[in-house]
Amino acid sequence: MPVTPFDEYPLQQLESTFDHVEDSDRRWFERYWLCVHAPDGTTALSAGIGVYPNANLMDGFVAAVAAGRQTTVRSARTLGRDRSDTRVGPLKAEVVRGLTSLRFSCATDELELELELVSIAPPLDRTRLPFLRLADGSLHQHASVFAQAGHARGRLRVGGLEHEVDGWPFARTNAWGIRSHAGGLDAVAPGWTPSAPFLSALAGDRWLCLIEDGSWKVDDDAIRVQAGGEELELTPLATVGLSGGWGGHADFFDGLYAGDAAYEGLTETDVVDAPTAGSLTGRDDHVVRIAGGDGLEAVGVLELGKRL
Amino acid sequence: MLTEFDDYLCHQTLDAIEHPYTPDRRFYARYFITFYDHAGEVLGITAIANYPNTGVQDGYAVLVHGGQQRNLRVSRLLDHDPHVLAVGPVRVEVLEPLRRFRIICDPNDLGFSWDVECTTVSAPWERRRRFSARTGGRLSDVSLHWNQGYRCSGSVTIDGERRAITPDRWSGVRDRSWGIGRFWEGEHSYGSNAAYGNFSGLRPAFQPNDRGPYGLGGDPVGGKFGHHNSWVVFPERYLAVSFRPHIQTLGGALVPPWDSREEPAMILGIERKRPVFDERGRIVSCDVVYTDEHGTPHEMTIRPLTYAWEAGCGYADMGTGYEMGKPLARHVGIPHVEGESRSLDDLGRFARDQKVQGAASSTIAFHVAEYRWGDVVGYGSLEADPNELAAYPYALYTPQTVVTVEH
Repeated sequence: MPVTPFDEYPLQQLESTFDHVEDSDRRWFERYWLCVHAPDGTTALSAGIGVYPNANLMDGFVAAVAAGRQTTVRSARTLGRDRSDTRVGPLKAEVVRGLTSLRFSCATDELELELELVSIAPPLDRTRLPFLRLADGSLHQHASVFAQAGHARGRLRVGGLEHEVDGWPFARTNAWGIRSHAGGLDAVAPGWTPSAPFLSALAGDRWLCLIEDGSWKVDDDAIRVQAGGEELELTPLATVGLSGGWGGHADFFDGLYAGDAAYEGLTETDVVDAPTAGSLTGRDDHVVRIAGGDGLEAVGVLELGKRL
Repeated sequence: MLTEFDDYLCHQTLDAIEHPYTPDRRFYARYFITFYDHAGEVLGITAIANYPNTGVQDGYAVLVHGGQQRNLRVSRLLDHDPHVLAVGPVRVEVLEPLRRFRIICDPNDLGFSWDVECTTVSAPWERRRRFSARTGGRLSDVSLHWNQGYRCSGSVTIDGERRAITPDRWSGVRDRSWGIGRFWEGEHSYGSNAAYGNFSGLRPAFQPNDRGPYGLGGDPVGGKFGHHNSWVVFPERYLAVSFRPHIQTLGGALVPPWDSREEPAMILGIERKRPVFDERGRIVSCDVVYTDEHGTPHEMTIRPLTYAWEAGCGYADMGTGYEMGKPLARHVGIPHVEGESRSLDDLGRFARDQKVQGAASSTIAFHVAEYRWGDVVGYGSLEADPNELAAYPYALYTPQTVVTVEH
C-alpha cells in the first residue's frame, strides 16, 4: 500500500508519500534519542529508536547503568512504509502529544522499561544545523535536530532490581538528515575528541541546553564550558557506554543492516569506575555534575562530539 | 517553527514539517470529501486545504438539495498549526488514519449543518503523479492524489429538518492531493488565469480556440477534452478511475476491501459509449466499459443522480474575491466566512460565463451517479469537465475508445 497512515494528514513536504525523503543518501536517518538519570546520577539509561528510509532499516537500543553493571538491549528490523509504527523488537516509542509527552518502553527478560517523558518547555530548535565536512572532505553533517528536557515517570527493572522512575530528569532529541556516523558506512577514525557537544540539565525551573554551542576546554579533572557569558564546570559521574547500541558493536551499528527479521541482542558488562573528564569519549553518553556562577548546581547529560 | 507533528519520525526534508521543500506559493495539500444519499436527494461536499507558503488554510462546505446549491467558503491564516483541520464552522477530524474520519459543518447562515462519520471500505488508491504540465516553460501542476470510498453515518440538517445518515443508504468518496497546483499567487490567480490541463499557468486569459497539444479542437463538445473521475463504492469493490483524455492518461483499479488478500486489478482500458440525452442535452445514462489488467471487461451503466458545480467551491471567483490559497482573513484566529445559495441552473450559467471569460476550471461538475455493474449496484462520483467551452447544457461524454496505460 503506497499510501501510508501519515499520508492521511495534509502535511507532506514533498510531492511524494511520507515514506520517501528528499535525499537518496543511504545514511538519511531520523531518530529519537533520550537519556534519563536518577537525580544523583548513580543510575542512568540511554535509549533510541531510528529509521533509515533509504536503507529500509529501523533500529533501536536501551542501555541502562545500575548497581555497577550496564545492560544493553538492541534491536533492528526492516522498516517498510509505515512511519507511524515505531516498534522495533521489544522497543517502542509513542507520541502521546507532540513536543509535550513521549512514551518509551522496552520489554525483555533482562530489562524492562516503561517511561513517560513530559517536557517542561518548548523544544530548542536547531533545524538545519550547519553543513559540515570532515577534514578529508567527506560529509559530516547535513541534518536538523531539536531537543527537549523534563521529568520522566515510570519504572525500570534491570539486573533483577526494580527502580521507580519518579520524576527523574531526562534530555531527548529528535534528529534527522545525514551524518557521517549513521548508516554504518563510514570509517570510524580513532581519536574521537570533545567537540560539537550536547549538554542538557535541569536546574530548578531553568533548562540549560547547549547544542553545538559554547567554547569547550577539556582537562583531566573537569570540562569547562563558556557559553552565553557564563562559565560552567562539568564533572563526570557516570558513563552510559553506547558500544552495545548505536555506538558500535561487532554486528550492530546504527543504520547497519542486521537481518531481514527483527534482531535482538544483549550485552551485559561491568561498569568502570567513575570516569575522569579526560577519559570521556564522543561515542558514549555521560551524566555530569554541573557547577556555575550564582550557585548553579545541577546534574545533567553530556554527549560529546567528533573532532572535525 | 516546530509543531506537534514534528515529534513523529516522518520528516521528508531538513525543515520543520510545516515547511514544504519549495517556497512556491502554489504548494498545497487538500482534502476533498463528499457524502450523498443513494436517491440523489442530498449531496454534501467539504474541503480543507493548507497552503503553507501563503500561510492560509481554506475550504468549503457545499450542500446540494432541491435544485439549490449552497456554497459556504471559509479561509483562515495558518498559525503554525497545519495539523489542526478547522476553519470557522468547517472541520475534519481524523479518527483512525485512512480508516475513519469525521466531517463537521456547524450551523451557519445558509441553513445547513452536518456531522458525519465516514468508515472507509478499502485501502486508498494512489493516482500516479498527475502530470508535470508546463506553460511557457513554467511548471504548472505537479500533484499527487489518492482517493478512497466509504460509508457514512451521522446526520445532516437542512432548514431545520434533520435527516439521519445511515451506512446502508449513504456513502461517499474523497480525494487527498498535494503538491504544486494552480492557485492564487498574488497578481495571478487560479480563477481568472489558469485553465485545466495544459493551459495552466500565467496566461492572461483563457484562449477560446486553444485546445492544447492533444486537443482536436473544432467541435466544442466532441473533442478529446473532458476529464473523468469515477470513484465508486460497490458492495465488495471500490472503483477508482481517473481518465484524462486531453493528456492521454488513464489510471485506476478495482480495489478489494480492507484486509482482503486480493490485489487491486488495474484498469487499463476505457470505452465510453454514446450516452442517452434528455431534451435539454443532459445525460440520462451512459455505458462505459472498463477493462482490467487481466483483459476482463467490466461494463457499467452510469446514471447521474445529482451534481454540484465546483465553481461554487472556489474554482471560480463568485464576485467576492475568494480564491483558493488567497489570504483573506485579516487576523490570526478570525476566519473569513462567505457564501451564497443559487439554483443549479443559475450557477451553471454563471460557471459557463466564467469559463468563457477565462476561469477554465469553473465548469467542472461533481456528479453523484448510480453505477450498475451486472447485478451489482454502486454509488459514486463522476467528476467531469464537460469539454472546454462546451455548450450549456453540457454533455458529459463523447464516444471514443482510448486504451492508454499510465506508467
